[in-house]
Amino acid sequence: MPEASTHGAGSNGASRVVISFEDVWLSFEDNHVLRGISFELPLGETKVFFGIAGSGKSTILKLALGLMKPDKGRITVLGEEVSSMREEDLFELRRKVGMVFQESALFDSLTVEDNVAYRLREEHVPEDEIHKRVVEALEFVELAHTLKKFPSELSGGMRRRVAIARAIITKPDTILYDSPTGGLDPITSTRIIELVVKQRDVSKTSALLVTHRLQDAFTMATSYFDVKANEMRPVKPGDHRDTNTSFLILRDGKVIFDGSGPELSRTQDEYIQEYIS
Amino acid sequence: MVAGRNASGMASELGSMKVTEQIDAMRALGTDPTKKLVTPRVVSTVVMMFFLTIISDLVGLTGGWICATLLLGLDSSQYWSQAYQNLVNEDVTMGLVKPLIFGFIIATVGCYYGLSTKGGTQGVGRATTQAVVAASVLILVVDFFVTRLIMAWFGSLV
Ligand SMILES: Nc1ncnc2c1ncn2[C@@H]1O[C@H](COP(=O)(O)OP(=O)(O)O)[C@@H](O)[C@H]1O
Ligand SMILES: [Mg+2]
Repeated sequence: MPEASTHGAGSNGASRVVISFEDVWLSFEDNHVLRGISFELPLGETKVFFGIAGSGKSTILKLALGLMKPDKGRITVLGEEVSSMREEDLFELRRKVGMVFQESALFDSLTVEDNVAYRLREEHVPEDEIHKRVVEALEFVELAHTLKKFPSELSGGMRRRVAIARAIITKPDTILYDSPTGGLDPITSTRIIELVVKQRDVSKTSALLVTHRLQDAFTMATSYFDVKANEMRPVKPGDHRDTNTSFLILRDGKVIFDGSGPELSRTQDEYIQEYIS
Repeated sequence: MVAGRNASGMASELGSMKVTEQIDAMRALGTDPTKKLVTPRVVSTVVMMFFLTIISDLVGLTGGWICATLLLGLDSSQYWSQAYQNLVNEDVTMGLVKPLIFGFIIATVGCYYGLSTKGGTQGVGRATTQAVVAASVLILVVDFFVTRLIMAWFGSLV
């Protein structure tokens, strides 16, 4: 049923909101990183964040997981108000959200298998099932042969893919990707974006994705994952397939653009035009 | 010495986990780093310090015995009975309570500085140094008070 995946209505009011930021402010001493950030992530959508280094992209993802607290404003994730929750209560919510850190943040002292299995072990899943699911998750990122290796023995791109496997092992409905292609070569970057698209189209996850590569965002907005062929394909002109991807641009602690790909290409804002050219 | 080695080891280990976002990753994966990293370190340091003290006391005594019998030609049974007679309750209590307290201080200080590390690799170095200094000073201070306390307690019993 290929038609089932195409909801032409897009993000209308009826769609449920997964993550919402309402007028969020945050400063580190004199550094006013976020000055009134507001946005919503509708169910099933992937929102791509742009902004120069230091514009607060990583900070926004950490705020969404409650790893930091805002100075002001409300952050809601899966219906719970993260900004006012206690750390003990956040652990439960965080289990429903996958996060891929900017530098992968794999546990150095654990093997790839144990890194990916981490969450399942915490949930006391039986060992044989853990092994099965770890292999499955590693196959998804095409790294099943690295089970017994340590993170230090892997390349940057492989570490990023292990981090993705670790994030998706519990099949979370929401994933936060922090610069998953940062510092990688174009070929590896495309493979990682393909995984993100696969996750979006096959598992129907909602996601926030930080990137500074415009190419990534462009690929995401114009590709879909063909399950039968097991690869990413460009959406043909005239094919009204919704790629469920939107864009958000940060500048000086504020959101200066939040909308769809076509809207982005039509914008008159000089800064944005320079950014996307 | 143990303060230096252990506190700095823990501070640098947890510190590098902090700056490479492994601590945040742990929280993001739904676990509490305090339970996962701090508690086992505190418990194992306390236990280790306790047994280390017993072992080093025994080694000390045995060394004394070897010297006494071989070099000074003392009678073996005389050495042990003398050593035993000179040992008072106060020494034993002091000797076994202190390592428990010191182990606790070493591990909590090391973990605290490790987990509050900021600012990359330099931050790890800073945290390590601070942990050693803090643990050593704290031990000196606490040692003074604990000694006073135990002595006062035994004094009141006599
Ligand atoms: N824990 C922190 N302490 C102090 N400053 C921080 C901290 N985290 C981030 N910052 C600062 O906040 C700004 C935004 O950081 P970040 O969100 O990592 O940017 P980005 O991911 O967009 O490159 C930077 O100037 C950074 O130095
Ligand atoms: Mg960042």
